[in-house]
Amino acid sequence: MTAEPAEHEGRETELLLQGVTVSYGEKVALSAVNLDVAAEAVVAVIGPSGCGKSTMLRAIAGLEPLTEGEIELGGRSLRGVPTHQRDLGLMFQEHALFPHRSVAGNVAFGLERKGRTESEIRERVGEVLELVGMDGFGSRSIEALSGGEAQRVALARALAPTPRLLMLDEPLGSLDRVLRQQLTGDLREVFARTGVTAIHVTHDQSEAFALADHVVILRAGRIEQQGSPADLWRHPTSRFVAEFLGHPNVWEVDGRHVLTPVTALQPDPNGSIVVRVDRVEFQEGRFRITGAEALLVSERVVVFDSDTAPAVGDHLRLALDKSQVYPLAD
Amino acid sequence: MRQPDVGAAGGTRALTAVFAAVALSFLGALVVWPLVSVFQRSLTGVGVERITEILGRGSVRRVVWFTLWQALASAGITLVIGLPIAHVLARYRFAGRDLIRALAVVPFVLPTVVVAAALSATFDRLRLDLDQTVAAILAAHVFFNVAIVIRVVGGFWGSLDQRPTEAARVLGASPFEAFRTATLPRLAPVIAGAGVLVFLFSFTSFGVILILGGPRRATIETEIYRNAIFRQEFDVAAVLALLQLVVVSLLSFLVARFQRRQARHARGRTRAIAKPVRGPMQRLHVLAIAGLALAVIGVPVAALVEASLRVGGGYGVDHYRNLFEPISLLPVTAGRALLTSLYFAIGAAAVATVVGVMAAFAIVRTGRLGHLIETAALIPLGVSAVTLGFGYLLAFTVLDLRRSPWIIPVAHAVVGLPFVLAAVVPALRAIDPRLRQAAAVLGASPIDVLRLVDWPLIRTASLTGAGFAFAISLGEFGATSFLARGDSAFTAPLAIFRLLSQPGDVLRGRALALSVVIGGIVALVAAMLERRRTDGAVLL
Amino acid sequence: MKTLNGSRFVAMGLALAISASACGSDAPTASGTSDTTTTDSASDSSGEGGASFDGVNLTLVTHESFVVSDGIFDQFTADTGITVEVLAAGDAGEVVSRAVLTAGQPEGDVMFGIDNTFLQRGLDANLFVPHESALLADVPDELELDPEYRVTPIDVSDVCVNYWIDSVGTPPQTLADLAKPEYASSFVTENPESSSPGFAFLLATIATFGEDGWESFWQEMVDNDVAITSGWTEAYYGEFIAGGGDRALVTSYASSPPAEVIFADPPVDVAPTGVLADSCFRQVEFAGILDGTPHPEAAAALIDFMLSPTFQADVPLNMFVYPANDTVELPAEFLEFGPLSESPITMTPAEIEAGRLGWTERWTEIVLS
Repeated sequence: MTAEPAEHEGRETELLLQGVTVSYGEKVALSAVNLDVAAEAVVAVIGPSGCGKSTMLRAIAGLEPLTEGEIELGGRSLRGVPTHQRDLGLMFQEHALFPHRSVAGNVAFGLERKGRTESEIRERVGEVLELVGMDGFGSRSIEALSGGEAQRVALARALAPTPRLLMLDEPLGSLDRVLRQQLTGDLREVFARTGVTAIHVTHDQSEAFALADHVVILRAGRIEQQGSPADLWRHPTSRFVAEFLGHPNVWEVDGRHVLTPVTALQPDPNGSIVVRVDRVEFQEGRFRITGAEALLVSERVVVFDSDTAPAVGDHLRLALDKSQVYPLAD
Repeated sequence: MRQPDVGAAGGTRALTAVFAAVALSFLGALVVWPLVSVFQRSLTGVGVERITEILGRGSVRRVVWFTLWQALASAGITLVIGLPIAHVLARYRFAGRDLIRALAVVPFVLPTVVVAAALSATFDRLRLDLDQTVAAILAAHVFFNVAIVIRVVGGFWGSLDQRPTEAARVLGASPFEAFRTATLPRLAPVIAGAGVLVFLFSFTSFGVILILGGPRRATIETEIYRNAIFRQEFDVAAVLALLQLVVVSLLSFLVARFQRRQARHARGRTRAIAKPVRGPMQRLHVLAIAGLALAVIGVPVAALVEASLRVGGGYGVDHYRNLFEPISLLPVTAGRALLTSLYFAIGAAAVATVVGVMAAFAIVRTGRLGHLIETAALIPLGVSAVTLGFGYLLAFTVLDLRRSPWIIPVAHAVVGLPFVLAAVVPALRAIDPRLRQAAAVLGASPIDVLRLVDWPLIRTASLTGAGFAFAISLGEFGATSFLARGDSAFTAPLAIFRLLSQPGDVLRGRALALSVVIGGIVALVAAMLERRRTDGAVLL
Repeated sequence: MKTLNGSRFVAMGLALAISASACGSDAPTASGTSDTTTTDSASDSSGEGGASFDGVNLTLVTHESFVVSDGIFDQFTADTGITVEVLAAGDAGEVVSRAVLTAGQPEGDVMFGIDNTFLQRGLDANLFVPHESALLADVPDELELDPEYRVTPIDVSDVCVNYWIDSVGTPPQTLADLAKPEYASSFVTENPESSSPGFAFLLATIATFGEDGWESFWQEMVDNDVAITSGWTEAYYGEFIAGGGDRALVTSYASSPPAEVIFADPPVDVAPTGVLADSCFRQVEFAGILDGTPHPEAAAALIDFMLSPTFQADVPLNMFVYPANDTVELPAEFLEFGPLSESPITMTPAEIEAGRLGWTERWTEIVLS
């Protein structure tokens, strides 16, 4: 596979992965991954658990030795460069803050390693704590923080030394839904304000789409597809991507899979498809209807939108715009 | 295939290799080599028939059986008594808590002969006729070793994240169920570790068996001595020593494996916050357990202190005042011997802690090699002082190290090492590896990670281990007595035994005073470590 | 343990033996050197031609009860140029076992502390090289137990039954008296397998009652409720009245009554204990030149010094034993409260060694089971 250029918009390449492979004996965790990340881009890496997302971050960080391949950061090969000299920021799912240091002590850690003076450190710590909305928390102990606060501190700690690349490993995974949505917005703002180049690993595609300029979908250690969020949504190339992104109506036709976008189906009394309505939900001003089409030997699920709400159990006819239907690779 | 990119793992691996090398050289030179030497010397030319004949003896079987069951019983009873005390001391704040904690380590350093006297006096006062019984042996082993359970388990318990236990309570579990399902699995590795230490101490206990058990009780340890010294049947002694080696190796192998498997439960420790005692039930509970602790530890210690203050018909501090007076029988004054012991104890604690922390890293970060180090480190506790003593004698002929004075603190460090490991390894395993990764990503070199992440998180445990190594060295008699030395290496325990080898109240008074001073020093050191533990701003 | 069969132990033993031969057996002998002064053996051997041993450092291997006054060797060093380093460890039995295990590569040059109950072992193991000291003229002939002079007697002590004068009533006069009903539950002695005085006392009974009589004597002692402890300290300080126990008779030393006076608190004029003279077994402690020493002549000079009045006079109050050199005067307390027995019980080292294992096994059967 060749590297598909990310949305560079004329910016330099900051991170380049070429043929990166990580294997543990027989088991291949990451296979010939190519990735090109522009400076100041936010890339989301998504995929089901075990697909190699975290391995990819660990490989970039130097925490996982490469079996093959090459990683460049800022035009410099990372081969043989130990983790602590790679100039990265990393945020874990569960904050991984140092329990023996205060909030400020945690944020100062990376700055101290860079040999900053005490006043520089104090200033920068205050700055990033404010950036993440935690100003005034400097002297708190880690145990006194809530989950959301801890993640904000972890973000501040990762950002403080202004790393070349910020990596976030499911940073919101352990938080509840409301907090997650709130922090997603905050992250977006921090990315914009700092202009940091970031790789954001998540299993939540909506989080990825909300944050990233460029989304990479990993499957079993390989890049299945990558592109801008809009491109990916509109043109999933495989059944896996389509289903992972949450497209309904991935149908098997004559032994091949096709994607029928919801927009391709319209209620129409003359339509050729007959479905029995199973569920009706109200979504963004329209009704989303889930139904079943009786086939010869089985049933297939059909999802479509409608301006009116049919009753559960009703039978409806639908028209299909065949031009929108396109085949998927398996 | 292109060369793999090692990244940061390379530096960490190099450090681990250095640590493993230090630990292996230490154990190789001070445990394996001496043992190999002594077995080579005493078993060369001994045929299979002879060995089977020795092992087949009914007397040997009886001795092995008694040794194993009394050690098992000692460990079991010590745990049953020690765990509730460890719990109360770790979880509740109450007046006298620090006192009990400091007092708990005192028995550990008292010479057997003095403890025997204190226990006998206590038995007499309680009108218990336990002279020369197994019960007396078990009581002494509990008295000596309960500190191990209190300190090693209690230290870990105090820093155990309570949320899972509280969650279990909220979900409707009774306190006992919550303990069993949420606390015990996480404590199990430490309990097993402490239990093994008590077992091994009881397994190789010598003075207690002879003095309190009397001449009718024999263990593998006392039989090794009898055969090697009185009967000079070195082959019989060597076969018995091999038996000890097999038992200790097997046991430490199994326990190390168990601890590795359980390690995952222990992740996620937080700061311990001891609660004040609330409500009559808790008050009763704490009172009962504190009373138990004081009875087990305090009463015999008080009997000893009282005896040391007896002067003529009344009481006084004469024996203490006279510690620095010269006395015939002793090559140096008792006070001078005490200073020597202090130097040795500080040296032993330093060596045991430095080597122990390195070994702990190697144990946690390597597989089979770590297992080997863990197993080898426990061996000195499970083999006889006679075996190791003869081993040093034979092995160190080569460099003529056998009479170098540093051999004594180093030998003490060998005995102290398992205690450092018992405290540090679980603490190290409990550190979330992501903390190290986070530090590395933030620019910390492998040495920085060690200094700024690992060390602050194992410092308390290391101090606990160092305290034990210090105490062991201060009270050590068996190995010290066996290692040849000049007057400059005459330690306080040797002085106590020497003073009690001739009649006279002056001698006895001084021996008891010296014992009390040793116990007091250890209590003081324990209290100081305790203070450091609570002073630290943010702790484990 | 029953499931472990013998062959596994053998395999393990062999493996250990094989791996050990690589590092243990060809070790160079380094004894005689010291870590404080550097000894040049070439200049040393030339020195031994004359009277001066300048720069020679001797190591005296001994048990941990060895105590001498500070500076006792100063005059010896001034006279001969020899410095002495004392290396003490373990009890008398351990010293012999150590020497047997390191035979040929001795820990030092001179051994002190092998007594007549262990002497035959040392002689059988060829631990010593002969030296006939001129000062033996001042030593009673009966102490010279080795006609080949491989060892030299240095001090003497008696293991005797002691009694607490105020509690014993009429003290026993003979060993046989101990079996009388009036001394029932009054006597405590030590296990001969783990205690030196315990073994000496067993030998005393065997010598007194003979091969045919000693066993029945001990049976009577058992019937008379004799108490047995593992060591002297438990007997004297645990069971005997002196230490707060309730037994009025104990196996101890002839020097114990003087110690009771010297170490009394508060001071006393008269010993509270007495000695049953008829029960005293004579122990003699020897010194010998260890085979393998590079300095046999300097070692001989040290042994001569240990037999000299300077050293001999230092012995009683430090080790609570009696000098072998009978020209030396005893301290007053020893003269008054602890004279050596005039008719001690003795046994030759060869007899002791030949009988040791059989006697103690028999004793264990009678008394302990």
